[in-house]
Amino acid sequence: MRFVAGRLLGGLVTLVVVSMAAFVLLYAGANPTGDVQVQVACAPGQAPDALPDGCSRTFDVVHGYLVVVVGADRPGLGLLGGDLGATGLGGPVADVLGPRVVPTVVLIAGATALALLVSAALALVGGRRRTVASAAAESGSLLAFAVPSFVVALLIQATVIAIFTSTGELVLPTGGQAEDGAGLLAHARYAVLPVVTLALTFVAGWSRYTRGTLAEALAAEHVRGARARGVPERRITRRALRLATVPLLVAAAADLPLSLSNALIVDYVYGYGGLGSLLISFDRANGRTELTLDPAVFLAVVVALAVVVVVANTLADVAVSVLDPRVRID
Amino acid sequence: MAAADLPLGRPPTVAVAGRSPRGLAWRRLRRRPGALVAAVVLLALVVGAVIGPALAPADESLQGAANPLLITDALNTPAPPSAEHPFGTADAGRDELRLLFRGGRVSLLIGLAVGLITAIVGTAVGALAGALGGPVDWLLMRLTDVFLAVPTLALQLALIALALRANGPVGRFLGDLDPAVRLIAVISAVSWMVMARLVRTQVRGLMGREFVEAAHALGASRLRVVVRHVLPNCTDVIVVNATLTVGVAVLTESALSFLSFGDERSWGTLVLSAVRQSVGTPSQVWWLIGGPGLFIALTVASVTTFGEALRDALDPHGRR
Repeated sequence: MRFVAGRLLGGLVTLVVVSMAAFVLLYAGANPTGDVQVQVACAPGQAPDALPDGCSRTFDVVHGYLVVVVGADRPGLGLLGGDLGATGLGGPVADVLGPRVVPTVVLIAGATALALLVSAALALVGGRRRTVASAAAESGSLLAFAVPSFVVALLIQATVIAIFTSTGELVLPTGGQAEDGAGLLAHARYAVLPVVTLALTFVAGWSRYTRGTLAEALAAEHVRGARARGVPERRITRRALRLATVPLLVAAAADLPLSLSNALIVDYVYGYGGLGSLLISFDRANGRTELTLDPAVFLAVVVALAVVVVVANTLADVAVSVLDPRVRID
Repeated sequence: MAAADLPLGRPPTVAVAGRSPRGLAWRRLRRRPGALVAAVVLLALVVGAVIGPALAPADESLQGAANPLLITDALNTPAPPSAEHPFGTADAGRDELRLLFRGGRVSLLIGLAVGLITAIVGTAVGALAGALGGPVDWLLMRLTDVFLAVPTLALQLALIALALRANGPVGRFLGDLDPAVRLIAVISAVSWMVMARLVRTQVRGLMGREFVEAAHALGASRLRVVVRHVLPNCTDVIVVNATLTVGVAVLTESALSFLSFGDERSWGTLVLSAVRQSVGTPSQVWWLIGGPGLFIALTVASVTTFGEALRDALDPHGRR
């Protein structure tokens, strides 16, 4: 418990520093002595300036940080307490980010769950000893890791569309989101392709670390000892799989920044409506890629994703200590 | 007694010729079939990038069109792979293979540049932290933690947004750069952390060793000890990690180019322009997505395989 508390405290310090560094970088271009333009809610009776519903004020960097992140001009804890401040367009950042949370969580959580299942299954099938099949799986997973996620997403889209043009049947939607009133099934149908695509990139990335760990776990001396004592093979496999999960978790946690990058890209390509399609959008009409320039939105996304990284790393440490009796934390 | 008279007992050099640690590593590396294949693929990609554009099939529109203004729509539409154009053609009858070779120049150079910068910055940070210890070490490692906690793509996009707004010193600096150079800076900014950690661990381990103490005792300055005695012992770690960084950098470069922030010749941009043209139906230009995808995958896979083989070969204890 003390370990977890220590890690969380360290993580909190990291997050505060991340928010400071990101603020100075995003608002002032890393010039700590410059002035920053900050959007704040207008005081009662004050007319919004050029931007709808917002009043811009100029602060020095320290004051700007206190206003935007700590929320010095309003009650509550500011950004760190979940109050996201105002965007460059004057509306609250929470209104912009809010609708993006569910798609992002569905995408990342769904892909993680699917990828963990597939990785465990692959470890069981291929990890027992070195065979032609396991060697093929190894090079296959390396090649899969090497294909950029946007290419995977586009090729899956192309395949589904090709099936549509030849049979006239759209198996699954290749982009966008279900309408608001639609049922759960309709929402799920739109989630399938993005989740599968992202899970594919996760499996490929993790398998580079976890190759052969089940084989190693099954060849360990205590496993041989257990087998010699007549412990049933099924129990041995279960134990070994439990041990082999440890490097998988460590890999998944270490790979998280890269995984989140892939999540943003997959989200963007499918137009799934998560954080990725908030930061970047593709204008079909004139074929232009638009990047959000609003520092408030970027600050909120960077800090939110950093929270995910810190929490996931702490969780992974705890899970490892539960799964692996050799690792003890207290 | 003169020094030459000391019974030094020269080792029998003839019997163990070529068995230096590096020699052994080289032998282990050559025995790995994966490393050999990766090296050949990589060499082919580099050769293709250098001389490929001259060898690839000629562009369609340049042949037989007396008046370039009269190029027909049929020539303008991308065509799937054929015997004449093994990777198909892009818009305006341009041969895709030629474009892919040309793109290799940009993508490979950016990958190499990021690997080099990562090696320099990561080694400098890691060596400073490991050699000085104390508050400097603490500060640099917290800085590394902060960078590791930030999701890479979000930070890279934030830097690009900053460049587009030309906000503050960093924004103006990045905004003035050529897109390809800007990508090198943006990718390097978030790729030095693992190198810094590895080098720091290695340097810390070496600082307490006898040969370092001996150098100190002989009056060598701390800088000299680190540069001449400690860092040469970190070469393995640095080279391996830099190689692996090149692979990730090529992947990142392709993604940022696909998002329209890269050089117009790069592999990622080729995919982007194909998707732009197909107006939402990527199935019509599958070869213009798969071709660059294949080149990126071959590059990343071979660089990564080679880096991992190098690591296994250089580390006799870590062999599986």
